[in-house]
Parts: sequence; structure tokens; C-alpha cells
Amino acid sequence: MRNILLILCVMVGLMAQAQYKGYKPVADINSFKAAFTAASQKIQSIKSDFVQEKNLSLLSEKIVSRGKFWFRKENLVRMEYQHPFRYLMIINGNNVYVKDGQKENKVSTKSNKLFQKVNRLTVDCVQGTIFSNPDFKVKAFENGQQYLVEMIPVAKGLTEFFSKILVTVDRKDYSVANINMIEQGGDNTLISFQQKEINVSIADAVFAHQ
Amino acid sequence: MSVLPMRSLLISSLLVVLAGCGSAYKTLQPAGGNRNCVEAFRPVFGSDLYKAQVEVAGKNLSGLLLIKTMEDGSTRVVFSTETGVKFFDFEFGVEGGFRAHYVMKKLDKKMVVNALRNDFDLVLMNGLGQGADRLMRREYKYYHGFQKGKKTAWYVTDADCAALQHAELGSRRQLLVDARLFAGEGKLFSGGGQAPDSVSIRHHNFNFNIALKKLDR
Repeated sequence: MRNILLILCVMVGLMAQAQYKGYKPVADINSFKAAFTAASQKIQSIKSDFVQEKNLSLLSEKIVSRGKFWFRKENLVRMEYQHPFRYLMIINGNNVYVKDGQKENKVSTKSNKLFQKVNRLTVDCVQGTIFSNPDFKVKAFENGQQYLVEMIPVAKGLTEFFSKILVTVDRKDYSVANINMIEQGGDNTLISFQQKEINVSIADAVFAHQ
Repeated sequence: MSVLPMRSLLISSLLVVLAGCGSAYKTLQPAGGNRNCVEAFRPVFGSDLYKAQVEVAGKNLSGLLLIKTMEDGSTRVVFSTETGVKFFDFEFGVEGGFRAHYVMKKLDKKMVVNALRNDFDLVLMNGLGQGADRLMRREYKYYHGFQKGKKTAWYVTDADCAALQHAELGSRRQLLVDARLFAGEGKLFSGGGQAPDSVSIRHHNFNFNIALKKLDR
């Protein structure tokens, strides 16, 4: 009986270690949170390219799109898809503006709780405030180059869409390298940020729209 | 106003209303010809990605629609937002079968799923069987009819069956949906083992339209 218990304990231990290949749980979560928040507070702006991969697991299919991303404190985001289609989304506080071809749409996140949560998630990821987001249970893992922040949604509305969200953070500057949104059925959307420029000047016009 | 002109006005109004309710297919005449020719217009999808614009009850929705033929011959149709959030994932079987693998909660209503299933059945030319059940004509247009329960899928061609003018789904009396497939630069889709460059689907009994434009990946 003692042997069985021992084997079970070893197996559970190994499974916990193997949860994310190449990562181990962050030893001191509080100091990581503090360092992450402090470093993120120094980030005033981010300009970056992005690649989005939508993986449809059962179809063995990957839909890849590319574009440009801008963020400026406190909560200005511009996400511009450029290939293979053009689609623009600007988040300005509680307002979301979408331009798709000739069609334009303005939404106030105040009128849509889900939009509000997605809006907060986007800003939290780039602003380093994900640990204080009550919509998720958050754990952190690390290796030599990166931190992996696991976010399990607990808020109604988000659980329908995601089983978890993994945010990979570069150790060197605590900026977000990628966001992986994993759906209940196993499909996922991975957004990788490339050629990041931190704290460059970004004109107001980037976040403006007619 | 005297009673007589008032009654005439009522009668003429009723006539106009009744004429509007007349069968959309009443004027079709039986025709002879090749009942198997529309098979050539069946679109063949590999793994094709479309930009989709959906107009429903006055609201616009956009996203990406993937149409992929699987190894077993079935076709998967997956619609998601540009940012990756999935709306639905449908499977259309070779023999006309259908399975909804996923439907977003807000869309998961029988009427919506059935409408989408009918639309894609019409475009994919799914579950048509061998040859048209009926071949009818109206002037120079030939209507190749395939019975689908109480409804009929009509594929409308020219006399030579050289081009697919459009497809329709109709009840016995009413046109319910029309779908137009294009090969590019506004040319009518002629099949040839290809996927259409663009597709437009229009519902006639409620405000629901879909426009698809193929993307170069």
C-alpha cells in the first residue's frame, strides 16, 4: 500500500513538472508578480508586428494572419491585420472601433460584458496587470529565457470560449512574447509579437479614427 | 368617398396582395434536356479561406470562413472572427449528412443552424442524388430541381447548361434563398473542379445575407 502511494506521489510530481515542457513552476510567485508589475509599469508603449495562427486541431489546419500592433498607456490599442485580409481594431478606453473594408463599427464595451472582459485581458497582458484580473486563476512557470503565465478563466462568459490562456513573457524586459488562447475543444489561437519596440513615441493619430 | 370606389380600391388592393403571394414557381413549364448536367457545377474545395460578411437583422458581422474537404470526402465549414473566436464548425457528409461540431451559445438555435445548413447545402450541392428530379424552364432559364424534403433546391442554367446562373432553395410556392457563385471578375461560376471566387447568399423570408470572398493565403 505504501509503495502504491509512493508511486502515485512520484507520478503526480512528474506530471506537475511536465505540465509545460521546459518550464518549472516559479519558485517565488510573489517576487515574480512584483518584478513583473514593476517592469510592466515602465512600459509606456509597444510597437510590434504580430503573427496570428488559428489552429483547427481536428482539421489539421492552420489559418495564419499578420499585421501591426501598437499599445500606449493607459489603455490605447491598435491592432491592424494586413494579410491575407485587412481589418482594423482600435481600443480606446471603453470604446472599440472596428473597420472592415468599407464597413465601420463602434462599440462601447460598457454595453457588452464579454467585450469588457476581452478588452481588459488585452490591456492586462501588455500592461502587466494580469495577476489582479479576477476573471482568471493565474499560475506562473519559468525557464532560462521566459516566463509562462497560465490563466484559467473563472468568469462566466469566458469559460465558454477558452479552457486557458497562456501568456509567454520575455525575461529580459518582461514584455509579452506571445498569447496562446486555448479553446475547450482543443483548437487554439496563438498571437506572437515580433520586432517589438518598447517605449517608442507613438502619435495620437495612430489611435484616432473618423 | 362613395361606397363603390372604396370597394374597388379594396378589391384592387387585395388583388395586388394576392398577386404578391402567388407561387414563385407557378410559371415554370416542364422542359426536356439533360438532367445530369448541373453536376459539373459542383464546387470542389481543397482548403479555401473566405472573408465573410454576414448581415443579420440589420446588424453586420464579419469573419473568416474556412471550407475544407476532408480525406473521407466530407466537407468542414468553420466560421470564426478575424481575431480567432469560433462561431461554428459544421460537417457536411458525402451522402447529405450533417453534424454541428460546435456552435457558439448565442447562435445555437435550431432555426439559425437549420438556415445555415440549408445555405451551405445549396452552395456545396450537397446530398443531391443522381440527376435532377424535375427539369423546368421559364423563358431562357432552365430550372434543375432536386427535392429536399418539402423544399426544392433549384440550379438555374442557360439552355445549353453551360453556366450556372444561380441556385435557389424554394418551398412549393415561395423562393426562400438564392445563392450566386462567381468565378472571379464577376464571371459566372462554371465548376470545372474549382472553388468559387465569391459567393453571395440571400434569404427572402427574413433579413439574413452572407457574402464570401476568397482570400489568397
